[in-house]
Amino acid sequence: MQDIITTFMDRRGDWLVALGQHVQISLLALMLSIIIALPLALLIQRWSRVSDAFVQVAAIFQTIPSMALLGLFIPFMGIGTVPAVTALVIYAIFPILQNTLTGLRQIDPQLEEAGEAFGMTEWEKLRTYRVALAMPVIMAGVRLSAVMIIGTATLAALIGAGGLGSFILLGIDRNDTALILIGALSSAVLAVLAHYGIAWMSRLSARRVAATFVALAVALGASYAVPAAARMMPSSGAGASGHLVVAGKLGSEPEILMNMYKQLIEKNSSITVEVKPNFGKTTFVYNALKAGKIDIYPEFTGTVTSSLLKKVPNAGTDSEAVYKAARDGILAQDNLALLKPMQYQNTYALAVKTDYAQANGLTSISDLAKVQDSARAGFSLEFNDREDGGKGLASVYGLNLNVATMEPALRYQAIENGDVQVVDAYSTDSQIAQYNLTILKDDKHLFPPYQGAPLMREETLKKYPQLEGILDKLAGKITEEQMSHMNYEVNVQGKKPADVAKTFLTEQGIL
Amino acid sequence: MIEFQNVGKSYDGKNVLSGANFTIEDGEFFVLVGPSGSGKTTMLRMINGLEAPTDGDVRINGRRVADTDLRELRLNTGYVLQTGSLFPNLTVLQNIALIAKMKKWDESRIEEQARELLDRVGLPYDQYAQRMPADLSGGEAQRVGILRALITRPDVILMDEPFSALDPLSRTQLQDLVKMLHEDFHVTVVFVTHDMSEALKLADRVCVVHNGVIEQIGTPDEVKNHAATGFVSELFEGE
Repeated sequence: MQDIITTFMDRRGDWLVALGQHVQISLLALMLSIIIALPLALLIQRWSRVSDAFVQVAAIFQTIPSMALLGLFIPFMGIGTVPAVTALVIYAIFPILQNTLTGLRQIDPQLEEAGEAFGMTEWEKLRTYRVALAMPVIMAGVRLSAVMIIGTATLAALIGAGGLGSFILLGIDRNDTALILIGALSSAVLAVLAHYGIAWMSRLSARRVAATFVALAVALGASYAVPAAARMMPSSGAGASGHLVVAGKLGSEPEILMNMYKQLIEKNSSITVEVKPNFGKTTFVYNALKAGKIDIYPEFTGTVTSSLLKKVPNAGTDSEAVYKAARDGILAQDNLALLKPMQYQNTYALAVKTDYAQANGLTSISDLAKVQDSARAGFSLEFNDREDGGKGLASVYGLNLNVATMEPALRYQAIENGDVQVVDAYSTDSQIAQYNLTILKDDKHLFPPYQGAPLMREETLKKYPQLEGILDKLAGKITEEQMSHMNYEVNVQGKKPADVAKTFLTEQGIL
Repeated sequence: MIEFQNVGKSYDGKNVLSGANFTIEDGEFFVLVGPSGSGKTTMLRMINGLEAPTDGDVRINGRRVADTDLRELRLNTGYVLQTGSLFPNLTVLQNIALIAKMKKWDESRIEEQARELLDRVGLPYDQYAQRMPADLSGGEAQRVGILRALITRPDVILMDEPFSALDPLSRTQLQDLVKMLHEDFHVTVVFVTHDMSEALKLADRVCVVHNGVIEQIGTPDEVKNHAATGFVSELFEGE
């Protein structure tokens, strides 16, 4: 509890921003769902078969897992608020549509007969009594949608739209329970407040509800317009000097590197750089880069050769050869430029607890054959599905492990608790020291080298050719120990990635 | 003048009304009476086009209902349903004002008319105009329902078993009220009931319907004392 309060006080500023984003995204999604679902329901309510068909379709949309929906949107919508809100709207339409239709259908047939007998048009019926009488049921649908949106909006953090989910994601990644709880509790409290707020609203007259709705819409518009206007001011002066967006996957290491890029670029040119950390999975950032939604992100040579290139080159495990294969391959395939890599290798590794290694005489991956009948492995989904990962363990090492797949950050907890005995790890993870783990030697050279390097579109490099010289200042720098230590400073000591990056660059005399 | 010319109606091949031939004169109080399912409500609903005949024609002032603009027709035809037909989201005044508003009356005229009518039926305007229907008794609600149909002085008012859900005391009061309003406004009333004494009390002429066929049309005295069929005499036995 004390922990939560300290963490909360430390991150009050971040929390307010995240809360603001969360409310903004949720409100926008709810407004749009109402604007779509309500008129649609009023339009189709006359024809019960058409209504049923629409409800069915909306119900089907609701069954698509939200992660899948976000993944599907990225190629054509990019990242950020647009795909996040679109996904939320698709979920939220159903309860409003269904409840509006139900509310209209349950109106006393005597009243409907009266409306008809008085010669009312459809519009007059809706205006005079139908909407008013269906209002409690409609508002119940809105309430349901609002609660769902607020909960699901935590996923927006995965695609760079921010919100309270960024606390949860960061907490999972850094194994920081306080962060997870702050994110989850805030979202839950927000949902409860929305629930009661809308319940209170539904006791108002239809006219007051509409007035509240308009007021909220204006407030929402202002919340987007004011910062946008503020952003316009200085950039109109900066003009030609340019603006770049640097993004990165989830985790401390990409965030430290992104801040290094920003600091180096801003120091050595007039380009301004915006940092968008914690983007989640590789495909999210990769597609966002190709779509031009972001400009640079740090990628690994080994990831390029094994995951991004459709034709996997046979580059072996020599780091220089892998870099060249990655650079040439991704330029030919996607017109992306992979600049020179840093020194450290953040390669895949298999780790076991040090006492377990000693007890079973494990020093290399081949030794795992001794324990493969009793040991359980906890692998990240990405690792388990790769030729240079889980699949390779079977084909190259002939191992047949009992594998449970899990979120990367949960593996360390699982091995600490004894739920699993073997995990995949990255060689620069701060947790290896933290949890007293031993890395098993890759004696059959399964894992290709993973060296971090800036990845950007070729056209960006042509537009700002100075970027190459600036970012090459990092080439060949940063050892594994240094990276691991910086990760430790962020993950365990709670330092800001920007500060860690700045200290390192200054100490190395690069900045 | 409302004319039924050889009117029949069938649903899915089943006859619910056949060979209805009669004329309702202007200003007449015409009561359709018969057991439930006899076809009396079907006939009533044909007058304002809620149902269309499958045979023959219904004419109003010589014009076929089928050729009439239904909105125009319905705006000039009052309709009173069973209790519970006030819109619960609207006040008494708003309910009464509905049709007048659809006919684009201005506010002051509506208010003046509503005041006169409410005062006249024993629901003082100042006490009742702003009440919600839920706060009214069944008898009060039905008075408002009648005023709602009457405010624009339509030529015809259709009433579909309007008092069937009321207690006997309220029913008597409302029957007297309707009788009075009919005389004061010289409006044509077509009234559906299955209550024989109500029919005899209110009607200028009674139309007895049974199994979709008209058994007899006549004054209360005629149907009571000179029944045309065994069914009619059985119906009014003891009245």
